[in-house]
Amino acid sequence: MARMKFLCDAERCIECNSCVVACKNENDVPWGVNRRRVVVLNDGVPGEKSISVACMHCTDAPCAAVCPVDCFYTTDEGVVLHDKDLCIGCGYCFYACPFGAPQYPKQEAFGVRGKMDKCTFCAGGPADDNSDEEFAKYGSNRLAQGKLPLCAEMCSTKALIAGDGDMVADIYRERVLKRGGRPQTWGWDAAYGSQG
Amino acid sequence: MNKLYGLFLGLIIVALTGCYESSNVTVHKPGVYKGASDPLLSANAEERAGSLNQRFKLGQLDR
Repeated sequence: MARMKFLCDAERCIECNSCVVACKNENDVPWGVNRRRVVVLNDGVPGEKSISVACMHCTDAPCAAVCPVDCFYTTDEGVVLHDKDLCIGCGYCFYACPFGAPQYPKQEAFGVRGKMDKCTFCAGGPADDNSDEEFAKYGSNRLAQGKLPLCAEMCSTKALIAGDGDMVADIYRERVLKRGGRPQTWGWDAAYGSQG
Repeated sequence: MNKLYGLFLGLIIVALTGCYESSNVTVHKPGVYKGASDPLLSANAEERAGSLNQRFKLGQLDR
């Protein structure tokens, strides 16, 4: 069974933020919530790199592990979704997620966070597929329509790719081989230094 | 005597009201999703995977 994954190629991302706009537009994401963000590493320094970050739909999702009301589930494609009717807005998932994916609208009185919102891989949620209720709560359900997330589909430089993890990995491997490899950008030395 | 017996029985019933404890306790397994079911899960995932892969090849491979 395919496992859906996102991959952002830092060598290709030009920080245009079109993925962010596409996501907000497609899913009618409320003000103050960004399901996807572009993060710039070493901003302003020659050789800066940008990556587009959202929920990575982890195989062993820490958000699901810490949820006290067990509102998370994983689809057959490996997409991590949640039920907003169960969510109590405790914020545990926000602290657990290493990517900062869970977001809160904070539109209620007394600083209440509100129901958690995050990237759904454009797969909606636990409501009738492509119903008004599903769109209002979770956004568009493109997967049910046989489409992939819009952020990746409209990436002009094909930096952000989304689909079956094996196919995504193949594309990235081909790109790395074409570029002639850059072993200094990954591996033990890159992560921990030569002394590590 | 019957009245006294009835009153005594009534008092006992009132005193014991709320003392009953059901042995049928609902035990929730931690880590098991408890929300509504997603119709996407019941749809044919294999078939959908095929169409999604086709879509991937159409739009996301390098030009």
